[in-house]
Amino acid sequence: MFGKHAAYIIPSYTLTVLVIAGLLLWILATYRKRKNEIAALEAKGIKRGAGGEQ
Amino acid sequence: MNDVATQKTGFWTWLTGLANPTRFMGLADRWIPWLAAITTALLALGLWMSFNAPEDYQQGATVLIMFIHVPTVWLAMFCYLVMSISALGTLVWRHPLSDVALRAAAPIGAAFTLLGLITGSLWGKPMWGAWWVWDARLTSFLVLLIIYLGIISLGRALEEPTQAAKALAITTLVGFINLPIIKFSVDWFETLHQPASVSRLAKPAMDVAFLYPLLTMALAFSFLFATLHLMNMRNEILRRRIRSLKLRAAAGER
Amino acid sequence: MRALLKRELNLALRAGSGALTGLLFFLAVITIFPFGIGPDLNALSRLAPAILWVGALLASLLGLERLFSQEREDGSLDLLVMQDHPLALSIFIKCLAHWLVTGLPLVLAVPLFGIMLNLSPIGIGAVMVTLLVGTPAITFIGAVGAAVTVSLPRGGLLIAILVLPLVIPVLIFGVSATNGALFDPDPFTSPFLILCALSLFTMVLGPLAASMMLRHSVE
Repeated sequence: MFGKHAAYIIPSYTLTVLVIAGLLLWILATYRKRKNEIAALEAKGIKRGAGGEQ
Repeated sequence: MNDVATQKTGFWTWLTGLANPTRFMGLADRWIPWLAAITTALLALGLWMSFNAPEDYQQGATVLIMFIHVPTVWLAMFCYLVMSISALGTLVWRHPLSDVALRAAAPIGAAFTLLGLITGSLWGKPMWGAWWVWDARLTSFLVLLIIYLGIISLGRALEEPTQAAKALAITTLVGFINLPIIKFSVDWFETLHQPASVSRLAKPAMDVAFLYPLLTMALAFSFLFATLHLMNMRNEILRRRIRSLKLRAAAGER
Repeated sequence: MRALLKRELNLALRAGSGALTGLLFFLAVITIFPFGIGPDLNALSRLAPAILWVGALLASLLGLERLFSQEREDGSLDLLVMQDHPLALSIFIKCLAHWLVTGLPLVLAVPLFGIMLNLSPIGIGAVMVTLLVGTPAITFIGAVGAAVTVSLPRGGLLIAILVLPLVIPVLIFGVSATNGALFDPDPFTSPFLILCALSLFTMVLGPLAASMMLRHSVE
């Protein structure tokens, strides 16, 4: 379908998908992990200050 | 006149109001799903347009690679521009979210730069016969990757948040000089890389059959960047919350 | 100012091993290359300008850690920032002292190393002159990297990574000027002048950016 250049086109698209998917999954996984960590800390009774801190 | 004045104040008030992390998180939570949806739609459209574009006279089907290579390069540079503006935000206006924006953007920019290098290489081999040449544009784009990785390393090494923010901001701004070098090196030095064909002011030298898919993909990648950036900014804010909770816990136990 | 320079020089010389280590590292790099390239004298002499420049560049980069190490160790960073003279000027003097102690020896070692690499006298002269003009630029740009990582005790490698992209132009024009002196059609003057310009440019911007960083790290 892509003629003789398939060997270059297919890896291009595949690698792009892999890298972007990897980035997305990393961000999502980190988000979930940190949310859980905060929930665990707050369950132990450690509260944030009023107004939210940096 | 009054309207413009209130509008301007309105925007700045809103921007400063965002400095409150909780408010930002709320905004991010609301916007991210929409941005993700738009990204997906645009990607689908862009890919459809790309695969339905005719084969280029010279390039054959490899023009398909151009439809990802060019957007990733543009986004890699745009991301650094966002980081530089954030750096100014930290240094000049001391906006608290600027540092969050900078740190969150860096890994995304590095990923786009890496993709730009890889797709460029895969496009270059069939087109011009070389996987890599040390010409000005490719070299300065590789340098951009090194700068990104350096900023990421620095961010992980520096613990204390305020000082780290200043350090990252200054480093980012010092590295900004690389961006004009990437952009204009193709005009300054005779290189193998093809000169600009899209940003010519009069009329793009590219045929519309290729221009429209390219612009659509570029738009899609821009929304992808926006989505990923907001998501990562959320993560960065959570990281700081965890850090301050832990510090608070350690202080309380004493 | 002269008193400050004298004091900095004394400190730098007393800190001792810094200058010698840099020189030894330069020697190590020069020695390793022939093992990699092979003993072909023609090849070596053609590559010698680049090898000398890369060796000097790496040796300079690795020495940058010492720029503020004294202040960090004895905690006198605050004193440095709160002096009467402008901080940028103090940093400029520090960089100058640092260069005199670590950069200048590299330049002076070039004749010996050049002979080891079968470089012609013209080549040796060209490398010396370009390094003389270019190594200060490395120090001044490096000051920003050193200031940014001043709180890290072992930030040496990180400094090298941060500063490396910025000194690439110095390397390019340094080698280009040297090759211009050696091989006929290539110009010497224009890359050399650009090299001078880079040094002057960084001489101002480097200490300024470094002072901005140090000031905030003390606040």
